[in-house]
Amino acid sequence: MSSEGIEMAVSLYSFTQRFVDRDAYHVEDMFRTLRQLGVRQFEIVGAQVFDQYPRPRAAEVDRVLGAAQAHGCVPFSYGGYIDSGRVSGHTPTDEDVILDLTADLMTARDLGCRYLRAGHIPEHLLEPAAQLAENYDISIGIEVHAPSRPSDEDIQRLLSRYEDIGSARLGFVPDFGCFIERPAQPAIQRLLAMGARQDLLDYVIANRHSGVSELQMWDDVRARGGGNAERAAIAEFFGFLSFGPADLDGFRTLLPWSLYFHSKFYHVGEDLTDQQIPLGKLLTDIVASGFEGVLMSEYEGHAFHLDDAEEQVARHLQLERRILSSIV
Amino acid sequence: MPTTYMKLPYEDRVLRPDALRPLRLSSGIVGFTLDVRLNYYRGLPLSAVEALQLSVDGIRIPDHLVLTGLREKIFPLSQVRLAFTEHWPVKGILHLAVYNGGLDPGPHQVDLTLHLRNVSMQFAPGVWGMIDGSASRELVLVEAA
Repeated sequence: MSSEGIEMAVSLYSFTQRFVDRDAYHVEDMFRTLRQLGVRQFEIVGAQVFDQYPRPRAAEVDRVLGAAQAHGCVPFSYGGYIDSGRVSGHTPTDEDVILDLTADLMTARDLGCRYLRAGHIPEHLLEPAAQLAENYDISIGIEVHAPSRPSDEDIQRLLSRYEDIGSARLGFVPDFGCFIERPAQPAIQRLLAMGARQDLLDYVIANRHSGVSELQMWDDVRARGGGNAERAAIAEFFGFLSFGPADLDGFRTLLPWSLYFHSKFYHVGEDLTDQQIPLGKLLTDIVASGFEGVLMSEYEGHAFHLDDAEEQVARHLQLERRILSSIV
Repeated sequence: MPTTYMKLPYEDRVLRPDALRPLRLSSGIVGFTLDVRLNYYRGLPLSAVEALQLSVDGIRIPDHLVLTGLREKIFPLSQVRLAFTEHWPVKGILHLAVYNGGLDPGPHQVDLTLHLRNVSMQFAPGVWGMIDGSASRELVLVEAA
């Protein structure tokens, strides 16, 4: 086993808090930080950074490329969406999906990215998607993101389709947010600051896996006196902050088809530990699979309104390096 | 069960302290303008706006008095849902021009209901994730710089 072929990269999405909050903060500032962190490769999310989406103006692409070059940074992947709900009242068609996929591939090519991280592509469109990817010389990774888990039926069906199609242009981008084992402390603190009651948060956490649906939980908590803050808590704990035993067996099934990894994290302590995500186990499995490629650090502190990405990303990179160097 | 309700912690930026201004034309003050920003982490098509309702000092502003502006384009509120080629960037401002005759100088309680469709998150045919971009704030009517 060797971790020598694994490279560190950073998603610019990690700087969401400052980007959204400060008018003047933009990609130039992000690349300056990447250079300070000693990281060259990055992912950029078009719908966040560009004023025009799904097709940014050429000047916007030029701005990213110019700023990246000035700081010695190189585009690695482009974060796209399939915004099939763009037209109000319209039932999305295959044409809508292909249009957005094409737009994102065009932009990824404009940026010089090797990968497009795409949203949901219906199974029957995977073969045409592979052909489009070939046409644009860009590989498409479908993200496996919380609240999905690798063992979920739809994810395993997707894996099976990949095997049937057999195109190296298609694969997964597993997001480590799928493996949250317990709620992050900053999440609890933020919800308390919003006015949530500690006893109701404890109740939601204790009963998250009791078999009730998000809606049933909300009805229950509302009856106990919960309001908007508790409603937000339920939405998060059933959604992108879903937690539970990490699905490592499922994760291992995705490894042969993983193009790169979203090394998502919510908080790394001063002692360089991540209490939410079993990073050591995940990286051990990745190395054992023989994977060579990129770990894309992605900080989600904006979910808790925290403007500490520089410190957190630095810690996360340090933690990853420490884990990787310990894997023999 | 996927998330069907999302409210990110950027509510304070939806209506910034300087968001409310008089709308002054050649004939004098004809109403007021309000700058609205997204409480989200990415931009959205303008057509994602499913509900936009405005109240000032507890009184609902009739929709037909509101003209929305995004960059150089303007839409009556009733046509915002059709503007699917217009991208509302996450740093961008939706300008509301309200032709109600104007507001008195000083503080006003502004309540904005803003519900947006999460255009990339469909749970079932016709059922989309929703983003609550609403905000309430006491704003002081300020003159444009």
